Amino acid sequence: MGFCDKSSGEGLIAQKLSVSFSGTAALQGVSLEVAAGEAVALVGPSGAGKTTLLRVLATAQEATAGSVKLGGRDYAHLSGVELQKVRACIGMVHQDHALVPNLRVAQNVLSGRLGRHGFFGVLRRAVRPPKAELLEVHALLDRLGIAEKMFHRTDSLSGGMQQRVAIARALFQEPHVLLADEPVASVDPARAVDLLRLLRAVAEERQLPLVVSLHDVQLARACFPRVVGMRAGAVVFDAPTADVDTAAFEELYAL
Amino acid sequence: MSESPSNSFASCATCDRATDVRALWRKRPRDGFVRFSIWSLTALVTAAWAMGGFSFSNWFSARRLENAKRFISQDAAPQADSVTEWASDLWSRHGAHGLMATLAISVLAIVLAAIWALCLAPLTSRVVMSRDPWVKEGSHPALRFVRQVVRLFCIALRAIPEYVLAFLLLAILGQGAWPAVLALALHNAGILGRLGGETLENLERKPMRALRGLGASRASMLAHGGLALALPRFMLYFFYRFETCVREATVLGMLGVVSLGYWIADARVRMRYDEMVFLIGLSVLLVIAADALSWFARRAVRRM
Repeated sequence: MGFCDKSSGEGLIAQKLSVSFSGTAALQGVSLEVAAGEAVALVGPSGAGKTTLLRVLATAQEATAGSVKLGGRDYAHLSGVELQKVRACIGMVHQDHALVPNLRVAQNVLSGRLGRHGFFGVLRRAVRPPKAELLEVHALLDRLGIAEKMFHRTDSLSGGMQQRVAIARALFQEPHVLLADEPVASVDPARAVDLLRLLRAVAEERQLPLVVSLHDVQLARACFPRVVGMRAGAVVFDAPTADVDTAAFEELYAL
Repeated sequence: MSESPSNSFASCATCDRATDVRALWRKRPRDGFVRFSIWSLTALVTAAWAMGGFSFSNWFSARRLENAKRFISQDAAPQADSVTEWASDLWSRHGAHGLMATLAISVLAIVLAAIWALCLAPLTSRVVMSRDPWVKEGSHPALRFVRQVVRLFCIALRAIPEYVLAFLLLAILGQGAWPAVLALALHNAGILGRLGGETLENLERKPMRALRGLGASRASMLAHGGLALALPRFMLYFFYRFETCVREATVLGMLGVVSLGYWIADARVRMRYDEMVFLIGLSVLLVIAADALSWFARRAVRRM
């Protein structure tokens, strides 16, 4: 039994989300449902609201209107402690991996469970990580293909490897949902496909809802079964990739 | 635990994961410098403890407690019937004058220091003093010589404490505010020059390279783009050192310069601890005011 209660079997449900920053609307009534084990790519031009939507889903940004439910639990009206608990169950992979560069890889992965322990628990684990957890970290890194780098300094790894470390950290959380904001923006095209396939595979193995924002439409079409096109803070289309024709994508990016 | 999702990832059921982890841990890359620091720090602390002759046995003797009690209740208490009268009297006698003198010394000193540092900083900076500034690393021998000399000069200025500098200048210039002003200005010029040089080295390279690519000379690069890029940092350092100057100007008063410190030393000689406390309070207020000023300035700078 993990830390996050997945008994409801529900995925991620966002309904009619709106966000406005001092008058300007960043999101206007966006709804998105992602079932457990389903993978979705968010595409759209810059400023379409992809990052804002992901931030709302990750509780980093409060919606002005609308609701988000994760595993049957509503994000609204959470106290500080409750919010921390919810966040501990949201796995996020950032664009520039957002790892602590001068820690060892294992320490960065272990930080995935910071939300579960109190301050002294965290301190104890930093000094002497439990053996069982180290084995888990090794298994994860093994799955992601970088087990031999386990005790290397994180910044000595290449960009693509660091992104794998970031994925390992998110998975070590044993989260309820996996979100990724432009996870392959700083990786070359061949490695980008590789990384996205890996992300999809691990999300599917664990039956996690996966939401990934991508500015590269070709990548989204190649790697994801379902795409959500966004423009000016609203969803333009939300369909299986095969059903969306090229014209729809071109229209999405039209100036 | 066998149902925990992470274990479902165990791709090698046959191999022994624990052995692998142990082997990887033994092979981990180690930083020799960090280990050296830890060991030498431990050794130094032990040695200092063993040889320094520190003693804590007489920390809380009855006599010291008695002294502290008397100081708070009698010596440092206002020696007058009315506290407001006491304060206003001290304020008009030397408080106001000392405060203004301290402020004047520190403002003059920091402005002089900043002007000198602005001249020194580019000369200490590797990127500026290279053959092709911001573009190539290598340097001309003459440029390198100038840089080393200026750097050494900055280090020398920093190395001499303000107090000692003021002492020397007092012998040359005689009594007055100038020894204090110049001592503070020289010392801080060394510090600001060094910090400024480092700021220039850490500037964003791309825009500077682009300016060089437009055919700009060293001086025009600095005047046009360098100063604008470096200004926020320069301002931070300027105000940081200004705060220090205000504090040091007070201390230098004890050498005979008529700042707050002079009156503090004077009150001590006359055994008037209540006056001392009042004047020290004033100097604290002055530093708080300087701190507030630099806070506002830095907030403004961040918006630039």
